[in-house]
Amino acid sequence: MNYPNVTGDRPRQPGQRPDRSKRFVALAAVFAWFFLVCGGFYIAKLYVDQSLRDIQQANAIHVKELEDRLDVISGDVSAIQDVLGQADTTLSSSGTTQKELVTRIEKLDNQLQDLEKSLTILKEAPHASR
Amino acid sequence: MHLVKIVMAFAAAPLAGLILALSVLSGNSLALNLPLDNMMSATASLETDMTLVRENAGIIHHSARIQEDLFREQEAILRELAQKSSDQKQLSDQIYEERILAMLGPPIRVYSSSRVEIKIFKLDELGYRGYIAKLKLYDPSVFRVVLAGDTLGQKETTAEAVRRTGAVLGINGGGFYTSFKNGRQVEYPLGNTVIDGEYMGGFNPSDDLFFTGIQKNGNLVGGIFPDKKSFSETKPWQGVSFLPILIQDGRPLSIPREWSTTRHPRTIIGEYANGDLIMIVVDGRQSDWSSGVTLERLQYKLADLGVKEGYNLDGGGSTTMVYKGETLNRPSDGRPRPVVTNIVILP
Repeated sequence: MNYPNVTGDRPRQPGQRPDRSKRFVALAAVFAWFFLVCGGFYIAKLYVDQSLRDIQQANAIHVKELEDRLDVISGDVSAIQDVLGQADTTLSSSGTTQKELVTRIEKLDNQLQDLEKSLTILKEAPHASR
Repeated sequence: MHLVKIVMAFAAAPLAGLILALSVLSGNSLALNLPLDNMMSATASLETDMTLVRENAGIIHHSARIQEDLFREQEAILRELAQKSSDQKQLSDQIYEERILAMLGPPIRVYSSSRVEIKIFKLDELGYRGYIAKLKLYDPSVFRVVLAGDTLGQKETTAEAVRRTGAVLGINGGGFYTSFKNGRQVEYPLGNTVIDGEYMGGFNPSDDLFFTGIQKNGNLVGGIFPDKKSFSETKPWQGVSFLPILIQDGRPLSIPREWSTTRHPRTIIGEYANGDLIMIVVDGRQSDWSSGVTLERLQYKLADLGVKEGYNLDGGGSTTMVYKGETLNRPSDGRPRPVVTNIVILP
């Protein structure tokens, strides 16, 4: 027995899929497409992250190298400070020694004058044989 | 055809994700890249500069060391020269002292302290005898001129002056004269007498009387001073007056004839070239002991002894030398004569 279409829908054509299935397929396709985009994005992000790590490592190595070189320079500065400090001490000591030299020269000058006077006196000293 | 498009869209989907990720994230990765190139080159330049600075600092230090070594070397040479000079002076002084002592003979008395050295010698020449005292004044304050009783107008013997002052040695001092004051006899020194820089009785100008004494530093000064200015310039500290001057600067001076040829007891004070003082007393008027000496002969004697300055103090019966309380010579009066001034040497 045939019943009339009470819903009023158009009668389904032979070989035609229902709309609901079509929508499902379309939605699945969109999801799949979106999944593929996300996958590409993820792979790209992995690549970028790896690149970042590489750059960070390279930076760390360069910074370490710089630190080492700056440590060497710092050591050099300390060594120069020491050398200049020693030079300063030596020069101060030289200054003191120079002052002592001047004093000794003056003292020697006086002593030589005394010696000259003494020799002049001796030249005129009496002789027992006179 | 529609299916092809769909397949293409699906195939391009990962690429779209890649492009999206790269477009979003690549900017961050670039931001992490540190601009170290400039720092590296600056560091390299700094390293080069530091090497140069270090080398220069080393050179400076080395130069300073060389300079210091040089100074020390010169100092050592100077020290050695000073030592040699000092040794030579000491040797020269010693030889001079030996020559003086060789002329004087062996000392009969020696007194030595941190302030003075006194050596007493016998003087025994043809026709006269006496004593010589040679003094080294390490502290000139031991040399003092004393007024009798420390007052003008009085008299005392040299022995009394030595005892009163606690001196080791004493000789009579300058000449003096007698005067009357309020009916009383008083004695005053001739010329100028200076004690501790003070002029006793004020300054008395003279054309014949000399003044001789010492400065505060022990140097002997002497001369004839007709005015106070020239006298003050010699800065006398202790001294007395009489006449005449026998020797000055090693040269005998002319002596008035009446003084030069008569033999009398004499008291002389003088100085050697090295600053040592000499005091001489010659006895006289005692034919069995000593007849005295003329000033002319004394001049020769002083020159022989190497004396550079010689002054004739009050002689005759005043001539006296006292050592440690003992009167060494024989005063011509037979007993010590009281005098107005004495020169004493404190211990």
